Amino acid sequence: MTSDRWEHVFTLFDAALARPEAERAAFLSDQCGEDGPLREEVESLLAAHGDAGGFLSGHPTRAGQSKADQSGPIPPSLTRGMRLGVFDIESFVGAGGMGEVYKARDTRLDRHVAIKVISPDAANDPRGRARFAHEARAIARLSHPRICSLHEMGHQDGVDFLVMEYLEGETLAARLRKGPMPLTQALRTAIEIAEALAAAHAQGIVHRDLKPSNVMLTAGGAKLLDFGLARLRAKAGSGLSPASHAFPSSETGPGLIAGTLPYMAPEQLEGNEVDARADLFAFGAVLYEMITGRKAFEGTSQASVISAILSSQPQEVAVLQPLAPPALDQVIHNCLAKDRNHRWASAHDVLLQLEWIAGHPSAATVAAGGDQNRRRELLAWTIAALAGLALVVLWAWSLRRPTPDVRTHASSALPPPGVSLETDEAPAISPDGSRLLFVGHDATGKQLLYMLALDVAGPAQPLADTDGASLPFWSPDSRSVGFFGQGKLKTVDIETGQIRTLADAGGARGGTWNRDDVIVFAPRPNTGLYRISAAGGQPAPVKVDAGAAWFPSFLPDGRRFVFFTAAPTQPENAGVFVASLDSSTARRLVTTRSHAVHAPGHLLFWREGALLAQAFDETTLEVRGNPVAVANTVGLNPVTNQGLFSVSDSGTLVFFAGAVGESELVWVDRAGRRIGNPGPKGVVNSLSLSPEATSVVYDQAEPRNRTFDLWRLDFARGIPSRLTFHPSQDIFPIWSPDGTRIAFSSLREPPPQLYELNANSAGTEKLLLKTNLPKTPSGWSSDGRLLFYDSINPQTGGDIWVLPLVGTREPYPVVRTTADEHYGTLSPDGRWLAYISNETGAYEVYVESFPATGFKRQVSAQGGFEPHWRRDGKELFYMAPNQTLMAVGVKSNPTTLEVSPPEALFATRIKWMEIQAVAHHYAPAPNGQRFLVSSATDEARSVPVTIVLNWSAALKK
Amino acid sequence: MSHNNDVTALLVAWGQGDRAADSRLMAVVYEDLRRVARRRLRAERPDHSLAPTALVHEAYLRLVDLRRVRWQNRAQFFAIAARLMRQILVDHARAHVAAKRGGPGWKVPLADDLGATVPRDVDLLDLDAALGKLTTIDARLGELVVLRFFGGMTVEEAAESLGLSPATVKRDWSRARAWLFRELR
Repeated sequence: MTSDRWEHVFTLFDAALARPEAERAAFLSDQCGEDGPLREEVESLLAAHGDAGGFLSGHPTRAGQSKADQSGPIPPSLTRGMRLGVFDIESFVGAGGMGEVYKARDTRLDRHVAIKVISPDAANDPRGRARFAHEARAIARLSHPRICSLHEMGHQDGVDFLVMEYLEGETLAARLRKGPMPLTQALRTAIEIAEALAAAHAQGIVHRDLKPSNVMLTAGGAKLLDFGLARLRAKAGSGLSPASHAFPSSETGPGLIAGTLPYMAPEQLEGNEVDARADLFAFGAVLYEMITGRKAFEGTSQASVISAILSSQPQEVAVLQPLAPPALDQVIHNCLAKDRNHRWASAHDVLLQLEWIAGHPSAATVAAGGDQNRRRELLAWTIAALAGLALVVLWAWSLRRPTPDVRTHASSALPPPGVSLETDEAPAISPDGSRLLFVGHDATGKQLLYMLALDVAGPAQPLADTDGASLPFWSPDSRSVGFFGQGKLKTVDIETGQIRTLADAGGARGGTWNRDDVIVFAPRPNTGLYRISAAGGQPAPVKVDAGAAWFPSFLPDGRRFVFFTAAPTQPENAGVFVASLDSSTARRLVTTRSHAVHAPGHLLFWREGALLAQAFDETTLEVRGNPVAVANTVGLNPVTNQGLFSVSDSGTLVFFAGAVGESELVWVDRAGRRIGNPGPKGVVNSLSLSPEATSVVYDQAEPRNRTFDLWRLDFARGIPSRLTFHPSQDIFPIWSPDGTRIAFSSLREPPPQLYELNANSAGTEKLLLKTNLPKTPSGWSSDGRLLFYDSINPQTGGDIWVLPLVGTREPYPVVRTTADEHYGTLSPDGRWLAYISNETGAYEVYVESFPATGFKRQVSAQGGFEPHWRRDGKELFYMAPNQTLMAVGVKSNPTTLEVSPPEALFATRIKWMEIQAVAHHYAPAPNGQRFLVSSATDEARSVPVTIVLNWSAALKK
Repeated sequence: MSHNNDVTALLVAWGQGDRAADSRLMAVVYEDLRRVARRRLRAERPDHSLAPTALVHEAYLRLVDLRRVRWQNRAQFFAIAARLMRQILVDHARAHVAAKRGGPGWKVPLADDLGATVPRDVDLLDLDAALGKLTTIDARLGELVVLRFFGGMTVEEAAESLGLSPATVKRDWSRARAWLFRELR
């Protein structure tokens, strides 16, 4: 047959396979016509396909035994009542790398022992056995309370076995499957392991296979198992190199990660001679996992784990476990040095460090940042909220001095199954400390308030009729809650569930409730504060002599309050101020990027990732002394500037540790089904597709210092490449319609300026436009001559501007009102401009003619963001506030545009952000049949709330 | 171990466009794979399968300084290793036949136990011959079988290595499997 003929055969074969079996005959009759041989050829291939089963899915196998013999669990070879020498077998414990383990009774000494039967292979070579015995004797001499003793070696009827101390307890691996350990417990266990290592190393014995499953947690503390056995195994096992024992791939099959791999030192992986320092590396990896609950080095394949061990650093401990003392991070860091010469010199050194940490809980004060601080604040309100990594906390380690009598107790609360926390908003603890409120999403994506009673066991419960609720705040008596939902300020009585709607509040920035039942709230980002009675009435402005006031919080007298001013265009003016219902005079208390809350005698606020407490005199309204860190890693919503914490009068502190949430890029069809997962996980802020949807550009944060750079991913290649390398923030890329250029914002010269670069060439950035207002590109005209961008003006809020890229290049405003306008994007035929505006109080999507002729039409029904046109201009997509992607059919007439009612396509899992973040979380493919969506990962949606009781004990000397 | 830097340098050179590095790389990797495979073939119990992925990954770890080699070069390494693996296994099977030692040769499971047909194995040499025929019909299909079966690559890895989309690779894999199965039954 010719190759054309074969191609024809194969093409018909593919097409027939794609059809249901019943239809194939008819299909082939139709396609093959009179060509009988063609049809036979295709049919015989189809038959072969049907019969092929697992053909070629296995590996080349030596013939002689059927596959069935290899599968299924191997029954233990010894059973109860059997006897090995003086040992009565009692029960089978498990099978490990070397062989089977049994619980047995030593009839001479009448004690329980563990018997490890060495598989016959491991000891069938006489010289190997001699070496094995020699090594075993050396290990048997190791006598230490933290090391599981090897009593003796036995041999009977061709079976070699080791007799070891029998231990009751669970392995550290089993313990870690339940999550990270409390800090004190982790530290104690770590010290015990380090003691064992130090003792063994002193006798010249290296463990070589330290891992959680080799640590037994007994009533008397941790004990190390299998000391030196890795070496024995290697020696006995037919001349395998020391490195290869960790890759029992012929047993575990391709693609499975060998158990020990994640704890192996780089030199071990490279097959080099191993010394005690390899144990220190493994120790660092185990310690990291005990504290954070995560493996230090992870991957989906052996190769990726190996690559992580050889080339990457695990995420800082402080990010995952904010209360961990920095010194502990340092111990781990030095254990995990890639070059063993840079590790701690000995286990003894590590032991001393850990003992010192256990005796000296750290004191950390965080100084105010300088220029870097300012840049971050500028970035703050341009960049999306990128929330939360997991942590679980147990004991507060920020005690300034060890205080044995006053303990700060912390624990964590996870949302009930099916509910995901909204980690962009602070959890709210009631003033009496008995109840915790948080914003969550139920299984259908609906945003509700959830309440967890801290004094009663049981899961958190949703509060009825709180749809879309955000920014909850408590009444002083802990019986009612104020919140914002569906564009209104509302209250709910937590006993009766009665909801009361009080006032409009379309883009709220927090509220506070005093003992006279006066609520002060910020209905929108730029309207200032209002007051209203909790019983109802008309809201009245509360004048304060400062910029836009957000997150008011009453002081104990119920008249004075603190609030936050973001001062977006003059970040040096941002900070926490104090004012009063009785006077508009406002005075700055602290410079910070977050809101502050009052706790008796203190102000708590966020700075540089830490939660700080500063002494505060409620009478003189003066702050005193230096702020002290209460927790080392606490999240901030960089859009609203709300620190993700709250505190009760009773001394309970609650917070989210996360500041950065991971997302992944997924392709979904119009029904929301996942049809592809093209990109790696990361902190992605905003994305833009190339014109043919063959590539995507996105801004991604470098994990350690959270610097955003632009990355490009070509779907066919599957490997992202970095486009910008500047130490500043490069954000909000928008691909040009001809695919050659990418416009973006950069903070190289604050405030954010407009830049562009060659889409095919890294390092080709050039400045497009520099002004004194922050700018973000939002779309190009189809001919590439006009670039639309948002500019944020202190008087008029967000406005839509155009920068002509030919001719005069003089930018001019397109939509500029006192409302906020964003996301200006031109229809493909260049006649209609879609954008969002909050002119009605809530953000809605509008379309108007371009250039303006007076025609304007609202497109969205109940809120909308991120409009995107389909390439043929016949459909407009947008994101509803409940994170549902919506579609609207549009028909272009000579002077008007007809729009159909919005149709919900599917619920997304984008990391939500507010409007001042002008990020793009999705992009439609040109045909509008599939969408690339930046979707929060499961991990990012399962962040627990950290609860610290009696937090201020940490401050007492 | 002594080849460590050689292979890394060769891969880097290959990545920079030195195509002559390809054949030198083959020579070094072949030597290593053959040594390890031999050891495995001798040591393993007869009922064990030889997992090429494991061998190839081990070879990679042994031979390549991961910190200096880019991912694309890694794909190249595995493609080379897959071709070598085929050669090694076939050589081994031939040696068996030639020596007539009576021991079982290497077999390929033709269908799993749940398949519609009677399970039986096919000789590796027969598979190799059929693969040769398939390659003359469609070289890309032949290459794909080498990568996936002898190299243990996933669909995605093979797609990366061949510069095709995973969808195309999946389609080609159906074609190749059906053709080979028909040829061998």
